[in-house]
Amino acid sequence: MPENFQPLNSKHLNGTTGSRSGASPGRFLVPVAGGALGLYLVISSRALPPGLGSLPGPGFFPFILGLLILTFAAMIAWEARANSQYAPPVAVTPWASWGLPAIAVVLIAAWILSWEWVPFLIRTPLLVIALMRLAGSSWRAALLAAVAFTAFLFAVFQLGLRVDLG
Amino acid sequence: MEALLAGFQSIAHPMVMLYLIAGLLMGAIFGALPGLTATMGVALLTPITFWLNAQEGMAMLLGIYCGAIPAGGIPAILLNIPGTPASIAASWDGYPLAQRGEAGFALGVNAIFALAGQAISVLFLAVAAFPIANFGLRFGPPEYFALTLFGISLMAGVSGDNLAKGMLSGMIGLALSTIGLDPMMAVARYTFGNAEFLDGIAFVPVMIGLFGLGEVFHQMALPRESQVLALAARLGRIWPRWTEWKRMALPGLIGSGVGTVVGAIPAAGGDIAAVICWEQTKRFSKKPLEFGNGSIEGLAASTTACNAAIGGAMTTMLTLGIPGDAPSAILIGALLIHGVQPGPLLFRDNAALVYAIILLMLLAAVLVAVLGVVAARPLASSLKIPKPWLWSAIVLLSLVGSYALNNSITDVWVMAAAGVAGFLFRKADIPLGPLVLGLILGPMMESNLRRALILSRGDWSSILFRPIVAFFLMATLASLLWPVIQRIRQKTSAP
Repeated sequence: MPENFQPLNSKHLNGTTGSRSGASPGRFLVPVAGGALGLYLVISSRALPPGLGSLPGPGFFPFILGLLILTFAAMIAWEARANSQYAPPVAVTPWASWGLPAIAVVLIAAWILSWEWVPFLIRTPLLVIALMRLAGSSWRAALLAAVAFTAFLFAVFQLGLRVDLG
Repeated sequence: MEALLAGFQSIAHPMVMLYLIAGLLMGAIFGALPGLTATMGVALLTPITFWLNAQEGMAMLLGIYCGAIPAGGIPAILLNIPGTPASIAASWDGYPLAQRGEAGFALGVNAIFALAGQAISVLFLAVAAFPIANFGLRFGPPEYFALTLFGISLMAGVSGDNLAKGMLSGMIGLALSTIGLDPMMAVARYTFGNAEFLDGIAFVPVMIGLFGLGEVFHQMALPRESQVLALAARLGRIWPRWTEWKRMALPGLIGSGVGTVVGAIPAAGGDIAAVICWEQTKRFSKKPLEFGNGSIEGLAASTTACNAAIGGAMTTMLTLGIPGDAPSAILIGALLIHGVQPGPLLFRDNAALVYAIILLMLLAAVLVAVLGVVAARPLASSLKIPKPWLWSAIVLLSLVGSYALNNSITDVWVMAAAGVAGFLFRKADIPLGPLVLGLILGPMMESNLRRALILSRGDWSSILFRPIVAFFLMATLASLLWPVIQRIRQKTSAP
């Protein structure tokens, strides 16, 4: 699959990052989450009209999809279990490295939630400054980016395309 | 011949050229900015053409259409955010190429093969318009169902080494596509009381979130050293070498053919054409493992296919009056405003305008390539922008772009949720391509199967034994079995 996979470097395997054996329960997170979704689809589709005979109703597709998701989740779990006995220790991304994306998610959520109350010309520069500082930029660069990006988006979308940005 | 000359005379006017170039530049902006699409560009600027004559109006709108599709490849290559849905597959190989320091080269291939795709499909339009359009007209619900089933089977091909995870991702995409009103009985499914979900989940915000925001979160979680390495990437050359031309020639030709035919089928646009072509080229490539990791064949095939779909869509639109995709549907409206009725009679009554459109599209293709090659180096230098600037720009464009689609806050939430999902999928090594494929094809597959069953009164045999359906079912079977056969062959040939 076209994934831009970047292998963990030596620092990840040295001190800041741990390793775990192949039999770690973390390997089963994907099949467990997938299985839960499949089960939800199967159960919830029962509440929808299933259709008559060979003429499927609204519940038919979600039901089939739920079964397929359960099947593929089981396949992944089976593969994970089969590989766990032979797999070498797996490099683990430290929880600390999830901090930056997690804070960014909170900032983005705050930007969306404040749509009704805070005007675009205020909430957007605040978001840019927070993101830039989070990523390690200087105050000067953060302020410059905040003004430039906000002005560009306001000019293109609000003034040019008449999109109401709030 | 007289009509061709008359068509040439009607466009050999400075104002027509000016409107074409203006359209191309505006199209490039709409294509390159995530959240703005070719459809939106054509729709928003159609009212401006009310004050122009038919040639000038068509020049501007065709310029937008022909400029937006290749421009969508620019953010796909540089930022891993497809500018338009048609450029999804371009990001799969273009972005890895850019990460390897060959951003200039990837942008060059994007521009050159956009010319190839558009020019070949337009020439095809001039020569074989009627046969293709008639083939598209033979598609009823059973044929559409079979075509989408074939498209779904391609999930196996775009799943790479993680077949089960890829199929799980695809099924999640299909499940997401069931959100909204049921297509036949209008029963609300999984809307959780939100009226905005009745229309289903908008595809573009999901795509922006998965590939744009998700990539930003992914890069944020990387150690600082790898971020610095990415920043130091070289821009590289633009023009391909002779050996690379030879490698890309066949995928380019396949892309032109597949793109034209898929584009001619109503409602199947450049996105489906590019994914189908990318997967098929990978299957027959001598270096399939390079696909998704910076394959020049993959980039050439997907770029030509999505651009060739323009000619295919215009073929169906001009000859039958049926839109091949969303922008061509708006173009029909624009033609009607100018008193021109697309359809078979157009070729008899106003052949000069048809030839003018064909010539304008050829000219637009050449100008797009020139513009793309000239602008490749300055565009590629955007990789030198420090990561915090780039991240902030992507986050803001994703937020504002997803809102601008429908002026909907729900779309922004959907985009943000897709961004988090994209990040988690990357962490869990789950491919994203199948999810997108499932989301695109899900509604078409379900509604056409159910429509076909209603029309045949539940008789499956009368659906399955239709010639086009049988052909696609065989292709689906081959598509699903091929990766399994390849794995068995690899295992048996391994020492």
